[in-house]
Amino acid sequence: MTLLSTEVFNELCTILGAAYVNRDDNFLASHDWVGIGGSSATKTLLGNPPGAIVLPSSTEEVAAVVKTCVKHGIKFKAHSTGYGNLAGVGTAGSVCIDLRRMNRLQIDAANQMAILEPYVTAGQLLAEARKVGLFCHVIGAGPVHSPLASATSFCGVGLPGNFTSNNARNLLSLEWVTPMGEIVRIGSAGSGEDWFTGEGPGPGFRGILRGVLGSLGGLGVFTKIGYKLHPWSGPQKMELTGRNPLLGMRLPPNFKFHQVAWDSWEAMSAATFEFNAANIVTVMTRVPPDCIGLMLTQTNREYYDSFKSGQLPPVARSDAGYGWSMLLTAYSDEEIKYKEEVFDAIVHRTGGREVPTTQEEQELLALTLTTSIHVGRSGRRGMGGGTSMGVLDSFALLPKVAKLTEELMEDPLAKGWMINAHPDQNWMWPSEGRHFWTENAPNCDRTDLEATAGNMEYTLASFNKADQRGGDVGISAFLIGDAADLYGPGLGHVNDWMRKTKNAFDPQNLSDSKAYIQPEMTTVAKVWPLAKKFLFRPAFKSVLHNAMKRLVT
Amino acid sequence: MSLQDRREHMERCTRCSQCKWVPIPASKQFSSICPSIEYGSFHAYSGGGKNITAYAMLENKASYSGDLVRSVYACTMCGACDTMCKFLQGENVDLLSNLYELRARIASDGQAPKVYDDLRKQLREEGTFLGKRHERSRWAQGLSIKDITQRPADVFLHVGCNNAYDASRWRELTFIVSLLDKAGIDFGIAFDAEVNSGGVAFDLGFQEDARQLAEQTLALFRASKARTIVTCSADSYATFRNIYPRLGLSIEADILHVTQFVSSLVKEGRLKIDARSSETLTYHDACRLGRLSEPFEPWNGSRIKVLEQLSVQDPPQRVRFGVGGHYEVPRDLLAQIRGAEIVEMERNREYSYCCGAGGAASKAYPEFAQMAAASRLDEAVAAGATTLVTASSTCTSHLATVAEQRNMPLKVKGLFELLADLTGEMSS
Ligand SMILES: Cc1cc2nc3c(=O)[nH]c(=O)nc-3n(C[C@H](O)[C@H](O)[C@H](O)COP(=O)(O)OP(=O)(O)OC[C@H]3O[C@@H](n4cnc5c(N)ncnc54)[C@H](O)[C@@H]3O)c2cc1C
Ligand code: SF4
Ligand code: SF4
Repeated sequence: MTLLSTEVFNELCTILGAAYVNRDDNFLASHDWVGIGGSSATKTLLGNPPGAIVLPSSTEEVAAVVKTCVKHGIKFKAHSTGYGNLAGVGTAGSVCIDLRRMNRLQIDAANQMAILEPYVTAGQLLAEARKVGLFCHVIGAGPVHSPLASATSFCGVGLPGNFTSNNARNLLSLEWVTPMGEIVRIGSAGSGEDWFTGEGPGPGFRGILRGVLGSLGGLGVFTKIGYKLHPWSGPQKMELTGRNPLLGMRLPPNFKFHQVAWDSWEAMSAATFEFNAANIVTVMTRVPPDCIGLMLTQTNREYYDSFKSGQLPPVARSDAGYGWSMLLTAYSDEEIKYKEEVFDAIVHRTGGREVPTTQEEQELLALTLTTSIHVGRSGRRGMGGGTSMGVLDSFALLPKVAKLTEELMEDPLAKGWMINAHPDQNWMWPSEGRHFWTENAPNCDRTDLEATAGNMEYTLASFNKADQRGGDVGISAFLIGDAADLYGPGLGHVNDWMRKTKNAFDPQNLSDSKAYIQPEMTTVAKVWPLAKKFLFRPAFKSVLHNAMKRLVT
Repeated sequence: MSLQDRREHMERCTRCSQCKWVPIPASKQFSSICPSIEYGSFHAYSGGGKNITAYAMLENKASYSGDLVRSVYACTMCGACDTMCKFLQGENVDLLSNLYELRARIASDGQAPKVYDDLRKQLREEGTFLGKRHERSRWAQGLSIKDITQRPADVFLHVGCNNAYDASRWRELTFIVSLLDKAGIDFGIAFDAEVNSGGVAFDLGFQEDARQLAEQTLALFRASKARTIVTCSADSYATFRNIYPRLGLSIEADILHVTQFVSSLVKEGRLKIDARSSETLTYHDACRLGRLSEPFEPWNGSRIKVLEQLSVQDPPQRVRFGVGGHYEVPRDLLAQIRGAEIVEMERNREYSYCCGAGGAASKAYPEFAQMAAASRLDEAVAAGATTLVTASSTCTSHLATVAEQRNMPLKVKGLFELLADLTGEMSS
């Protein structure tokens, strides 16, 4: 039963037309579903439905909806494609602003940018950008996610980041409906000129509104952005190979795929500096071998049978070594020849080796590196799991971070809480040829309470380790919800600045995200400085585990 | 099977929305794969949204309303969402099976759209929802065709309802008959004894009606003793291969679609295509000849956990990824037309976009069916085609009507209609 009053419902209908406002039970349920492990992983229907779903078609309509909510003191939350575990509203009865009807896209090829609305998907943008020799960044969520949501509100690192950067930096200009319902345009968009740059005079709004993570719906609604595109030497139309689901991309002569491995994280790290300096690799990404195995098989059963019988190809075996999937691209024969020569020299000099791959494997992995299309397929193994600190720092940290997280996984692996394939579930890639991103992200069956709690524990332990080590393993990017107060103090007291921003722009706390910082510190956050001294000690393991169990049920 | 039996699969939906899109779009305009979400916009209209509705019903968190029924039935049961869900999730969700059970529940609760009451009544009384029983074989008047209910034949030529009742399709049927005669095939039809094969009833959730029609159809097949059934109907082809096994029924004879049969006759040299055209042709993969005709194999097993946390089917289950449909043979036939240029639409084969004709959705929501057709026709025009060809008469009739309504610069032809136009006849 909806919690929204008929008065407000009718007002929303007047703004948008009755066809675009709905509070039917089953429509609300479809915005109350979490299918990927996270804070409430073991449930799917959360019992936290919105009071209504609205489908505005313009920024002005969004602003009018927000003003109505402000007038009645009702919470609201923006929703783009809704992929992921933070898409639902924070509070039952809030208005879900589903931006599906706002999907306009304009490409400014000469200036290598797109101006797009929230419901343009990465797949659509890629298709249109390629037609004019450009490419866009695609995060791991793949072609179905919203680049606007990612660029404004939720992290934004991704597999092709070596050449497409990350979304904190791809975000140029911005149109924003503030939590009070004002329409603000930022950077050159605000000057009424072209949507060219995100920063005008004065403090940078991109930092205030998003930082490395984004405000996850906690700071109003972003309705349009200028978004950076990147030059693409590949074909204007991607020629697909293979059949559902084992799709690949035809590699043109000026594209070369390599799977390279070294014998240790140290050797891989050293070689990576050389590759970054040489600037010859377009995409370099490390997909954990188990995940490559899942991408190369059609079903979980097929994966398991191949795993058990030792039939997985070399690229998907845990003894594949420590290395990268790499895509070299060029505009001419001479350029690719030069890149290949430099590539061979670096691999040789650094003691690397090529892991054998078939043409089909190369095509499938090349499509993954550029579009992330198969990333979600590797997630099919459990839909629950944990993650480690996301490190946005120097490649020198690679060996230390990988080993540290693998140590943290020993205990949960022994307890059977993670898919017991290998403790190396390390996803890695550079952003713009320098920043190092990694997550050691194990999976579990999201319906298994003990395991889901165990994975949350691993995530927290990993954040804690980063906190204790005072930055020598990079930063914890995922300061989601309470985590901002738990770990913000160790990161320049960023939580204080987030809170000031939240309270300044949203004085009534109506922009309804439980995933962004709350106006007041919660009790958990207040007791944390003391609690963390004990919780991670062996004697308190069961206390932490039980607390995590409560969190996920 | 019941809705409750599908619970574990439903719970595996990640709400990723892949069921709304082709995997790697070639353009923004033709990136959608689901007509239902295009029509209704709210997530509840998508395959994944319907899955959540089903789950919410099990949890008593959804009550019947006009919106609920519309979000479930403004849908052609085209299976594209299932193909795309399997792309990402493999065996986890098996979405189409969930959708079939959702509709079965709604129908058994008496909540299916009221227009389907008439359709059901007509199916029961006339064996079809398109006309009267005694009108079924009007198309064959004046032709000399063996009545397979009276005299045995090697091949049972199964006609299908849309072919039989839509007079605009009769030319195709008579052409097919002429081809089989030319190739010297011993075949017969069941005239007015043929009934709807049951697919539409199953799609609408009336599983018992579907079973009865299926049993009548199977009885005809069995009585004929024909070793080969050749169906002219894409809808029935999908029903035989995908629906009958779900009802626990099987066909003892070989089942072929007429395009397959004719193509094999051409390959064997018993028929020759002598056609020429200067048109630019594009082929529309009908859902029911494509992904929905991939055979369903009944499976009796459970999920077990391996590698501590990995849930797998035990014993292994054959998963329908949509690639086992019937895609290349109709294209091979078209490719034999000399002088014609053949172009592909962006969404093709297992990623084909439904034209809106399927599952009798047009009866309850005609504007939905028209919207889907308009998108498909625009895609054909964008591909540069001057003629859209399809091998499903349901699609042909619907697309041709909408193309005419929209006054489009595009002809819509059934594959055999086109061959009949170009050859007048095929030489043997
Ligand atoms: C398999 C998988 C892989 C992933 N890989 C990556 C990865 O590699 N890198 C990465 O950064 N993330 C990754 N993610 C998370 C991902 O960032 C989000 O799923 C995605 O960015 C959000 O896009 P969306 O359209 O789904 O947004 P939604 O789910 O709709 O929204 C995400 C959040 O942003 C807010 N929001 C959305 N739109 C707006 C708006 N217009 N205005 C204000 N707030 C808004 C929402 O309120 C919500 O809190 C992954 C997720 C999955 C499931
Ligand atoms: S039904 Fe499948 S494709 Fe659709 S949202 Fe759910 S998991 Fe994703
Ligand atoms: S069956 Fe077709 S129309 Fe219905 S939800 Fe699935 S993709 Fe959409």
